[in-house]
Amino acid sequence: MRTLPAVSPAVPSGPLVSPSRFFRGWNRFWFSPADPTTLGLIRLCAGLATFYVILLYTFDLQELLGKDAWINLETVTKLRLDAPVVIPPTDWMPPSPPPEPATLEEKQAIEAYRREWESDPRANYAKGNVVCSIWYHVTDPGWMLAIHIGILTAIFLFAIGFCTRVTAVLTWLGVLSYIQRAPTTLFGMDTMMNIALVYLMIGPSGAALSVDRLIERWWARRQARREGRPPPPDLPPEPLVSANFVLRLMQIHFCIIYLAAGLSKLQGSMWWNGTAVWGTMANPSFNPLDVALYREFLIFLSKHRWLWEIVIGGGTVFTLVIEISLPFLIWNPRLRWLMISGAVMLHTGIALVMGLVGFGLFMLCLLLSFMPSAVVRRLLNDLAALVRPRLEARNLTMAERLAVGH
Amino acid sequence: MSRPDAATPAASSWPFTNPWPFLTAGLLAVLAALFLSRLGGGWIMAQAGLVLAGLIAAGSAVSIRLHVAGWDLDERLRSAGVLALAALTVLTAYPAIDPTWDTIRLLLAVLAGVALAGAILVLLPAALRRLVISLLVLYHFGGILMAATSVAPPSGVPWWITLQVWTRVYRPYLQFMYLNNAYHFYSPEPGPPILLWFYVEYDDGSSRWIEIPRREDFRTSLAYQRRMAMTESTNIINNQPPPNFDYLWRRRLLGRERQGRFENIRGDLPVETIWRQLAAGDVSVLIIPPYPTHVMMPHLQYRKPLPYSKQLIASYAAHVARNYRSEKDPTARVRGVKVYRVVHQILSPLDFAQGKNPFGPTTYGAFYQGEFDADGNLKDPDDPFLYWAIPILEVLKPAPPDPFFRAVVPPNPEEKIVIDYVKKHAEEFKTPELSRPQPQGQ
Repeated sequence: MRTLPAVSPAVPSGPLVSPSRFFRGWNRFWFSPADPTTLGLIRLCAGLATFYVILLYTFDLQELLGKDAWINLETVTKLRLDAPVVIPPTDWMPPSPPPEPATLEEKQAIEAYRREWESDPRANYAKGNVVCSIWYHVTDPGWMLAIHIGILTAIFLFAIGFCTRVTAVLTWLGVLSYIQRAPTTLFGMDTMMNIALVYLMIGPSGAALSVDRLIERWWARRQARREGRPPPPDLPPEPLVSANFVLRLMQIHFCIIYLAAGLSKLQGSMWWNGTAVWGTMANPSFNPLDVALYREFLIFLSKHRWLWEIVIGGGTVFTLVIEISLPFLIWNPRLRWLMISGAVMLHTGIALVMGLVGFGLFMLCLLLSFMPSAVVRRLLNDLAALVRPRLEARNLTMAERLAVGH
Repeated sequence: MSRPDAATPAASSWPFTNPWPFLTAGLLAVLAALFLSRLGGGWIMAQAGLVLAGLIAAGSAVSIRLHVAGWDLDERLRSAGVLALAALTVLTAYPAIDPTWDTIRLLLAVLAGVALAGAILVLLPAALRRLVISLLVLYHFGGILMAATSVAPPSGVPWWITLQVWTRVYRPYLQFMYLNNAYHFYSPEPGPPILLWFYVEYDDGSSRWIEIPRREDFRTSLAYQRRMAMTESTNIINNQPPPNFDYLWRRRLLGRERQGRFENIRGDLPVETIWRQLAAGDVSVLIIPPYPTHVMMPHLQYRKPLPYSKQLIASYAAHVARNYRSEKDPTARVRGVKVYRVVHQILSPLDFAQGKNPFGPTTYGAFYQGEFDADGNLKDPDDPFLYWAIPILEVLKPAPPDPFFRAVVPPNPEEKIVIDYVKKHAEEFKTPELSRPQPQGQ
């Protein structure tokens, strides 16, 4: 009974909207088993990308996370502990003024806080941020490097899928430490990296395409040999409810990201008049405007208004259409390839034009959650078929060399 | 969790099937950390190492148990026991961690809570477990939606209910998990990038400019993008003109008063004459004029950062003072760091078509953020130029007077020069030293 059917049962007939139908649908959506191969591929891609992102901190450990970093420990601690959290009043009237401070010390403390934060501490709902990072507490450069190497090791083990359940948690906590210590150096890539790691930590991301899986197979063969049984066949990993559950979490989250990104753009006039993409293509800090070819391209475009309007307006409409329609249309199996292709084009464009390769990589990792595992498996088999003859040829060459005594 | 519908354990599929040695080792490690913590100071890193080892061992025990466990009642009871003991291990680790490591203690409390909740979840029958998981899913995505909608729209405020729910219910969860992003990428409009310019003066008389970020200073694009995000964080500003705007405007025009003279006024004109000339639109009396109103309206020339950005700017100034030495004498102390928040304008297609340079000097709009000492203290919070735009202007090149008639010749409209008032401001407008002693942090 451990292996469950991979295909969901057919949708029962009945009224279109009924509580029982809804709950059955809910149950099927979240709690059907799914092949964990897709999740394994996401782990492999996101894990390696995370390893690269964190590896680059090696050169910036003190600049970004040290005691005297750009945002130094004193400042970041102040933000962590004292930043005011305000909330609108619960009725229409402004809140009544707080009572006069009872002591001189209290009055001075209130004044000092007001000078620093331009807010009365007594009017705050709360103070500070709920964050956690080892870099708030370890500032010795030697220890920092040692811990950084430890975190990198955990991320690498997670990426290759070794002791994945444990290394996934260590990876997420490690990455969170970098994120929470240097909040002003973050951008969309870090957000997407964190989302991917949170879900990979919850799900059985090491159940496929992992060292864990290799160990499991090796162990099964070893057990069979010991017991005199024939070795078990190399079957694909069994479908798991938790794999489906996490893939669904990723899918829903991805749709919310797209919808929020798309709808929020509708507030801006540049997205309405079709010129917004110019703001991303001609941004002197993000785009390679110092590269003559790119600059000449923009000049050429600008000199031909019709062309400019088609390219820039088309890019703007394409962005809006993909971001707003994907959350709805991607659930339709017949349109899924179109939506996935559109999202891949969007992120490839962002990566090429704006240089945000890391952001695009993690978005594509999350987008992989929409790829049916059969497609992923077929792709991997094709890849293996492509690589295997070369490897065999190389092995043969090595064997021939050994045979002749080289 | 991996096999919620399976009734039999998968004991033979993994080399490790017994969680108890791991759990025992984990508990022993955190007990050792606890013992060290009672010995007194000097063992903080050893304590942390033992706690980490204990947590990894306890986590491994849970992982092993959930990998091999079945889902009949007896199996669930055992799994819940392992999870509860893992929670106990984490709770034992809590006092073993130094109280100054408050964020790590917070993490331990969260981990213990998760383990206990997991123990209860495992004990529940399948249907109830799915119901609880469904509720958790709804809670989680409710938070994601609150984060996405709690950002104020342009010239407006967010929905009251969203703000209430975000603050009262979701804030700790979303902040701790770093899921508090609104995903409003490039909206409402893709804005211009923000840069920081620092002018550092040293006590050996030398000075230097530092621009952050410059692409050529970084080996990887990721390192460059992190600095871009860093400078962008100084752009959290108050868009409304302050109630005392008129006073601030007049003060910015005149500059600091020194011995009866205003530092921003050429010559020795009486105040009444100055105002008369300024009222007539003649800014030639000003050493550093504001932007002409057709370029930028006066109320847009004052951009006061919110306290969050102010704190960051002070920290960045301290970092620059500490890390960028004098090129003349590396041992020289920093006398002051002037900071400018710079908006690098994106050229319009017309500008591109006309062949304008996207890196031309007038594409940079600088806002003065104050002068800081080496420790990041703002030297003069009442500096008249504080938070005001300092222009870089392209003007017609004045023609030399006609030598024969000694008349003023109108300038040639084809000949233009750039006047960099930022450079002038940084180099010529000195902030008076405060009366209190200024510690030097180098």
